[in-house]
Amino acid sequence: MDEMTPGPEPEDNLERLLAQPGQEDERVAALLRAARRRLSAPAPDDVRDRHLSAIHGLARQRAERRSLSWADRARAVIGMTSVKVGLAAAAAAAATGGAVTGTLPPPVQEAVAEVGEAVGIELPRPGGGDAPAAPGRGQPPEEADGGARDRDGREGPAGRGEPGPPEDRERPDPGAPGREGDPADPEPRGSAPGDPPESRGDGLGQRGEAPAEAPRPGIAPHREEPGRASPDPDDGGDGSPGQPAVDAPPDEWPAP
Amino acid sequence: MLGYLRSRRAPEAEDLTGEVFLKLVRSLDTFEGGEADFRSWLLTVTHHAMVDEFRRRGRRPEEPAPHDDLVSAAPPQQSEPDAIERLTTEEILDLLDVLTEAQREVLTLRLLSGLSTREIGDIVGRSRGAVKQLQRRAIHRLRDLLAEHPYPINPPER
Repeated sequence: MDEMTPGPEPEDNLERLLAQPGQEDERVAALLRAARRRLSAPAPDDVRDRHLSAIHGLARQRAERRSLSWADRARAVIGMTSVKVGLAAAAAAAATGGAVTGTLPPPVQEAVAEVGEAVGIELPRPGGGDAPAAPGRGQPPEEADGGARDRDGREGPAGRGEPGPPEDRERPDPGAPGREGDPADPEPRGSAPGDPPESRGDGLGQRGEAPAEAPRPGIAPHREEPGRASPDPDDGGDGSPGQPAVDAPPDEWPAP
Repeated sequence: MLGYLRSRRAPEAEDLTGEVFLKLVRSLDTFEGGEADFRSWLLTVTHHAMVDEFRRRGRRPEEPAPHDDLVSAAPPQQSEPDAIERLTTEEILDLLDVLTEAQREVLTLRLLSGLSTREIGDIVGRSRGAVKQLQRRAIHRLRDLLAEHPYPINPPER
């Protein structure tokens, strides 16, 4: 009949057919009404209770997992920040270390030397012109001296393997360019430079070894060092002074 | 939702409904939209769950029963519309078996969900025109069945 009486949309036809069926549609309308009523019958109580219980349990699980996942996310963010800071620190350390020793490619060495000169650091220029002055202007002499010896593979006389007192490390040092507040601190303060980088509790080796796994604050093996409260490399940006970036390139520390 | 699963003879429709509810809860945070969208989404999830269940069990939804199986020799005992309205769920499903799978799907969704043909088209993956056509043919087929054969009709033996 729909073909014979075109006009309303099928959905309208259906409702009309159910509500006011014509003579020839009475039976089909009755069938559809019965279908709607029977098929829409609610589930038995026990089935309904079972479903509600399962849904409730799942919702509770999800709520708990969500609260946990927020903590995990926060940890992951902190961890990724640490990794990034660590990688930046490693890059900076490698670059400045190469600049001090004059082993960078000539154009790079030239550029780095110019920048260093602008901020008061003398770095060798390509071709072996200038020798670096006392490494780490404004640094405690024993640290500067130790750094020089480190490059020869010998233990520094000032006990580079032994960290100095915390007040030495945390003394503000305006003469250490690029250090103050620099999150890309290549050398964690308070660590023992006499150790290989990978063995340092908060050292670059750890930062660079497994960047895929977000490190968690506090899980890195921590050396007992008086000048350092936390192994978190994020602490590197706190502006506390230490050794200059040009002093002890991490890739040239002597083996233990 | 349960009615739709029942109408499609989904195996263990109540249990499947529970599974659908759990799926909905799991993915609830991905839903965006209003009430109509939610109903449509709910039935879409139901439809997919049912298809998956049939696939898992290695069979398709019930194919239409042969038309002649529905004919009964029993004489009508009461007015036909009244008798039809007293049919049990199983008897109704047996009658709906004369429809093709697509016709049955569209007709029951229209009957039970209150969704428009466009929304049903989104659920079953058909155009609005195709949904209209399927609904029209389904009604025609049922009308022809009930017109050709006096009621009550014994459901086919399975």
